[in-house]
Amino acid sequence: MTSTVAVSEPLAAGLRLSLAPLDYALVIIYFIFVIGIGFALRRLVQTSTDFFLSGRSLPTWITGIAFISANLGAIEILSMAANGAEYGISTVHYYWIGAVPAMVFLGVVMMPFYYGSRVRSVPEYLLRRFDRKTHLVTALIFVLASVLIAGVNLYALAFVLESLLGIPLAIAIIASALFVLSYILLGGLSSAIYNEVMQFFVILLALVPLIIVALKETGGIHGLFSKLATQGAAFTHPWNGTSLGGHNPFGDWIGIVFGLGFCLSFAYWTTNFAEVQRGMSAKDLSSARLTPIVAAYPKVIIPLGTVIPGMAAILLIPGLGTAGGLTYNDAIPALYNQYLPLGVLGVAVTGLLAAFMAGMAANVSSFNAVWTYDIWQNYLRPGRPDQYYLRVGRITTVVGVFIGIGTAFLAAGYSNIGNYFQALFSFFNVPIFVTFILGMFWRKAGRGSGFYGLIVGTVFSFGTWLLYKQGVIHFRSDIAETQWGAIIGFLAGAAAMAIATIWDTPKPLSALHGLVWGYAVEDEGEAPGTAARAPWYKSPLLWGIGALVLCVLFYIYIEISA
Amino acid sequence: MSSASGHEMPARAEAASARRRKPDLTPEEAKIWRLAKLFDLRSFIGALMLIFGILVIIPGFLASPATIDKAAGINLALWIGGIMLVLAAFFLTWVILKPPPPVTMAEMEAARKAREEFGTQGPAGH
Repeated sequence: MTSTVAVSEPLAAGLRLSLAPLDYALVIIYFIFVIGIGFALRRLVQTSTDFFLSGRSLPTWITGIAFISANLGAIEILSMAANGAEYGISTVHYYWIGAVPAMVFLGVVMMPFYYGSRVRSVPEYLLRRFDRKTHLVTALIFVLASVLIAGVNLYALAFVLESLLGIPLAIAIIASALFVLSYILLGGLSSAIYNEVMQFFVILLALVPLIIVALKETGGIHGLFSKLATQGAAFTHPWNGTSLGGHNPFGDWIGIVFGLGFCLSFAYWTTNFAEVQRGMSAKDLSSARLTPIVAAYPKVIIPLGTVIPGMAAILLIPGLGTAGGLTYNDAIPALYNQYLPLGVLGVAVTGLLAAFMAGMAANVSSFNAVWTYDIWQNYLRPGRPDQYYLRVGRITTVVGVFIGIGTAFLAAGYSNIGNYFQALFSFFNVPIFVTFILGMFWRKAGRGSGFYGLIVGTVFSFGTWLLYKQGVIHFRSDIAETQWGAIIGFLAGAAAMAIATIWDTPKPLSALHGLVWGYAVEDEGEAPGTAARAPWYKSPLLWGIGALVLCVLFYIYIEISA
Repeated sequence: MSSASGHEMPARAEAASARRRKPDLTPEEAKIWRLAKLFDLRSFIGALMLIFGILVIIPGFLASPATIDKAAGINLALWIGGIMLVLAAFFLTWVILKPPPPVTMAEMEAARKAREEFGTQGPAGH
């Protein structure tokens, strides 16, 4: 689950890391590899008639790791550690309820619609299923969201460079943007995906020392939990105080299960183009379906490297989260500063920087895909040859990066702006998901109903937030408000679609082939029936259930350790 | 790309035997195959982990008691460097034992046609 993160809560200025020449060397070597991948892929394009870059050619392990890596951005890592420090073990709900079930659902149920219908982007599905109104609104929201969030990512990266390494903000913004631009222009989506896979291992290696140190210093999971008993029962028991009148800041069980686990999480994982694009690049339908499920397994254990060190930081970093001390967002950099030796520190900083750049690159590549195909090709200049749109895509990448630079400077001037952007776009997520889920599973949903679901759902989730901020309605915490706002937006959007369908003509069945439940197409690249004969150990359903069982076992383990 | 998962046993066996007998490739095709092996993602990850692993594990061997003491009494550099070298060995062994299969010009042409028919995956996929 990506969270709306306080990117603007700055890292403390006094948190300068002292990197030795060896640490800098590691950072530089990594970035030489990144650019090297861009050049290598470019060279292959020239020599092998772009065979190696053909869309749908990547094996499952690559798309699966890229899928998790596109989500494992630095903002995600820092904020999950911050949540761990502030709210404790309940943060695991973001993973085991707020991510894994949605990833399994995407692979088992939804991927055949995306992959089988051969759409090239997530909004394009809505164009085929509903009408141009629905499509245009969604595409515009996607374009705006991705380019502005790329800018916010860029600002956050530059801020980390400034506070940890002492590089001036303006130079850091421009240098990182040009770096990301050059590797996307060189190798395109393949370059982005390759880098995500390489980056995944570096990020894991940046988290492993935190796990080792946090558990050694506090006496293992059991020691950590017993030392944190003073923080209140909900800090070490994820389900404590989640009854309707309870006090767990993560909210009540309806909000957690239906709001976070269904509305918010399904909305993010199943419609976020930067994620779904990874599955779409798999070599066949079976690989596409396994992509998010392969990714679910690392997702199950990542809280060990984010939430647990965040909780340990409460004990290990004096004054964390108190007035005048370091902020919760500083938890991981502070642990790095305090514990990591020469070399390992360089790896950790490399992982952090790589994670920021990947966050920006994922947004830029989904921006140029949606702009070029969904807006330029559909509404502005239709019917040109493929080469023309490739050129538009390249130009769009450059323009997107420059808008990102502008946004980053804006964010540097008004530090809260990043939060506003993220809050703004979060109102659209759930209503977009409503149009997808009803469009896929309710074949009678009218062609114009998607548009009304989108508008009404957004108005209701925004309205809930506004009334909460004005003090008219009360929720136990901001987190609880986002959960209930999502539930309200979902129900309102679904109701609006149902009402709009009464006056609307349904689409003829012939136009819904491959787009709705019961009319899905098998992968056309395979002979009929081969999908059914796939060996049992490649069954998405089996692996999906395995991931869910693992989550349940982890919840049980946490309960008995606490 | 890589042949990490052939999805049918006969195809996989065929590809494996093709690798063993070093098929008759034109010089152009052989050059592309060499590049494909060199530029396989697994080669990149393996090489990066090898370089990182060596650079990180050396200070681990030279670590003073003070350094180890700072890191909760654990020689972190030794551990992290060691994990990296294991990863490097894993990826390099994988790519050497199971290189990407050679591709003939005819197959490339067929794949290009199929892709044109489908349309590009996205402008980012250029």
